[in-house]
Amino acid sequence: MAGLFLGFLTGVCVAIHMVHQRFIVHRISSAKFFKNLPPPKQKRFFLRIGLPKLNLPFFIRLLILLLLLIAILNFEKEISLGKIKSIGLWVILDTSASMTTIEKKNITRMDIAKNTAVKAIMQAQKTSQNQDLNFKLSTFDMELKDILFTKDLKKIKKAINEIKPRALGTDLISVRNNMFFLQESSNDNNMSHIIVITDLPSPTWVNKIEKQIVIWKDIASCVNNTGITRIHSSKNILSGNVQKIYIEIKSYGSSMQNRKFKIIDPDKKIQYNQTININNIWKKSYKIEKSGEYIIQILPNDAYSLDDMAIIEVPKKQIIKADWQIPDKRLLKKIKWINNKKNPNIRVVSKIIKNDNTPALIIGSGYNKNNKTSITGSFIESSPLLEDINFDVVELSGIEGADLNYDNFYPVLSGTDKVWIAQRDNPPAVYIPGLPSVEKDDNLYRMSATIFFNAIRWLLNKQSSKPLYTITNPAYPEPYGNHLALHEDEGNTNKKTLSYNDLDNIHPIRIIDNKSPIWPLFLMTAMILLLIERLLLIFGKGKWL
Amino acid sequence: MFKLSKNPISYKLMNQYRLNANQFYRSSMIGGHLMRRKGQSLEFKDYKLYTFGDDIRHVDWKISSRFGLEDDLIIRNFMAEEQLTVLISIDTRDTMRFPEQDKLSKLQIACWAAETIAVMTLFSGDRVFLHRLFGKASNGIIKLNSSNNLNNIKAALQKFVNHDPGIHFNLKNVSSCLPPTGVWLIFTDFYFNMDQQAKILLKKLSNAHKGMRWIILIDLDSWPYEKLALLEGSTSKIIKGPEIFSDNYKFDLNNDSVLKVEKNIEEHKKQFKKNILSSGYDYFLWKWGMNKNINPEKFIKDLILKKKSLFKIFMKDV
Repeated sequence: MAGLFLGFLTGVCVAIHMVHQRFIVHRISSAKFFKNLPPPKQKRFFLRIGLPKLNLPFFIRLLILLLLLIAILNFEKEISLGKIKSIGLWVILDTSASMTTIEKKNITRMDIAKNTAVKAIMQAQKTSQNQDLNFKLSTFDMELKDILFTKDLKKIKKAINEIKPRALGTDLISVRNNMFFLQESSNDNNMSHIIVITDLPSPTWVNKIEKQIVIWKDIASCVNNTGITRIHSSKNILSGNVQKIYIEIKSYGSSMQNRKFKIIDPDKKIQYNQTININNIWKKSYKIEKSGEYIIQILPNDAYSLDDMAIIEVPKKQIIKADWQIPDKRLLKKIKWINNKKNPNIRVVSKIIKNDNTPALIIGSGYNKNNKTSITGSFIESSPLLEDINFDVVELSGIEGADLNYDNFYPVLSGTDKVWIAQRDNPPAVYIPGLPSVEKDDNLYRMSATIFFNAIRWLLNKQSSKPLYTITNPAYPEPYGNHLALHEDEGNTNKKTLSYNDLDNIHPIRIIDNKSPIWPLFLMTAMILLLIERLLLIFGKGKWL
Repeated sequence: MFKLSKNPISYKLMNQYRLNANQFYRSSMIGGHLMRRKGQSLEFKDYKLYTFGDDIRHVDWKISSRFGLEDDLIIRNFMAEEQLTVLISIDTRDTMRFPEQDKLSKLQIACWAAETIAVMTLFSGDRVFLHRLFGKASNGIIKLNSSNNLNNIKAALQKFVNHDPGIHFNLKNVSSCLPPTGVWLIFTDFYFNMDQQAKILLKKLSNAHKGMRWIILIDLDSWPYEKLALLEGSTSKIIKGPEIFSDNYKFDLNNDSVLKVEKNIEEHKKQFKKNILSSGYDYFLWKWGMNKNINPEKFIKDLILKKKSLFKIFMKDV
């Protein structure tokens, strides 16, 4: 298409040069002696067509068009400028919480990792003799982040220096997927080497990477660490209030002697202060008397400090006023709610009351209405109404279910044809199959009570029970308050070190053609010729028209 | 603006030529006073025997006692060296500024020739007047009388060229610049109108001639050059030039129509030339453009230094 267009332009150029002025102006001294000559016999058009004016600009213009045509026709053609040694080094640096571990003399694993990264870069520079170096820098913890793609040594060194560890866990899957993606991709950005610098031992899958040389540099050395690995609670299944917390402490490496363990209650009083000797796992349960902030601490701090202290938040105990319209008031008495019709927190009803904004719990016909096993249909997995629900128990609970005829309700858990649990957002209302059984402490009782209290919590707080603590994540990577960095396995600082390949493996494995597209040469020549043609017109004026 | 180019004839070459007053011979004036006259002046010429009436102060007593017979006295004879005046008139009208190409305009050639003659004259110790033939009288004549004025020649000519010539002759002070021994050189293309003004010029020439001035008219004719250009390329032409104010001066030219123009030019010049030829003035036609590939340097050297016209005035030093 472009060729046709240029062909057209060439035609236009030739045509323009074929058009001449019919009357040529002559300035002469003897002009006045023409007075008696007869004028032209007939009027004619002031332009005439003749052979092209074959002057220098004409040939220059044709040459410019020809060069442009060649440039377009050879748009994808490249010329070789010689062979060069090429290294494309992808540096992947571990920034997980464990990289804050102090190895010795206040040197962290991150410091060692940065030094190793710089050494790898220098090795690449040395072996490639600076001919063609490409660097890519990425970090990984719970996510893989590309930081920089450059040829500039200074830039990548600066970028490495600026990397900081984050209080996050480690997800090797994203690293693995990206490395395998390179194997399948035709566009590998000239990466010939991948170096992963981490405190994790080399996984077995690295030897399956064939397109690039992989260097897995485990910079960790075995150091001892003791840390809190888990805190969980037991709750009153009727009131939902926290009764006890369970603390699990693990030691990695040799057993830890004479560590101090403390629990400080919301009044800042030390409730527990004991010297402990930990051999592998040590567990502690603690009865909660008050709601508020508890500090759990192991002293003194060791190599990895993020698991030495945890702050948990025990939610406030609730006393609920309910408009209990269900005839069976046994549960009401048992959970000690106050029956209040005028100003209730919640209405417990068998049918929805229209035009009422009070949160409503609609109780269905109950459990064990048939002995048939029901099959779970669709459900909203993330719904707080289904928290801690065991679906196996649900399917055996003989739920009859309901046809959902109420406005703006949507099913949360359904059987094959009936709705078992449903909710309405505004005004808040929940339909559940029935009241918890208070007769036996069995699976049905526990399941029905959980459904009941999940619904109650959601109705009152629009959320299920507030956790004791949350875990840092890529969106909120910094720990604060009860937002903790208790990521599994991050405190295990005593793993067996295992590297794969070494920095010596960084040497040019690709001798590539240094190619350059050919069209800019033609374009540049055309531009120079155009400049010459313009200059000829400026300085030569009409002579070059 | 018309800018004069450097004269291809160097001062060094000009210095090889001298005003040759002894060559001035005109049949109508045998022994005419334009020759260098013998007399009792400062420059020694030869010896002769004393005759009655000779100045007794010029008797060379030593020579008389050594070589003279008993009563003969020998006296020294002297030659009077009389200064020659050359008046160079240049037509600076617009028609003289053509052809525009190749620096070979009539005006340029006139100025180079004028400069060459002026320099040669000054080198000979004679006197030069440069005269603008057209335009106002003020600054229309510039007097040069020593070789120190060499540098002023080109500047004076450039001033003439820059001056608006108008249509009137500048002849008011010409007579005072032409003593009886003078030479009057006029460079023109004779394209001026043959009106009352031209008659005044003819009268001035006639008076000068009668007063024993030598008049040389040089006709600068570039028509052959212009003719060649006209017959080139397309035959359809728009003619522009001096005294033509129409943009629609269109013609289909061929050999016949060009010959007609040539005839017109001849007819025009004839009106003036018939007077000057019958009066016995010296008239020279400088014509160029027969061959379009002219080398300006060689052309001007041949024209000024080898043409008979100027050889009558100058001779090369031996």
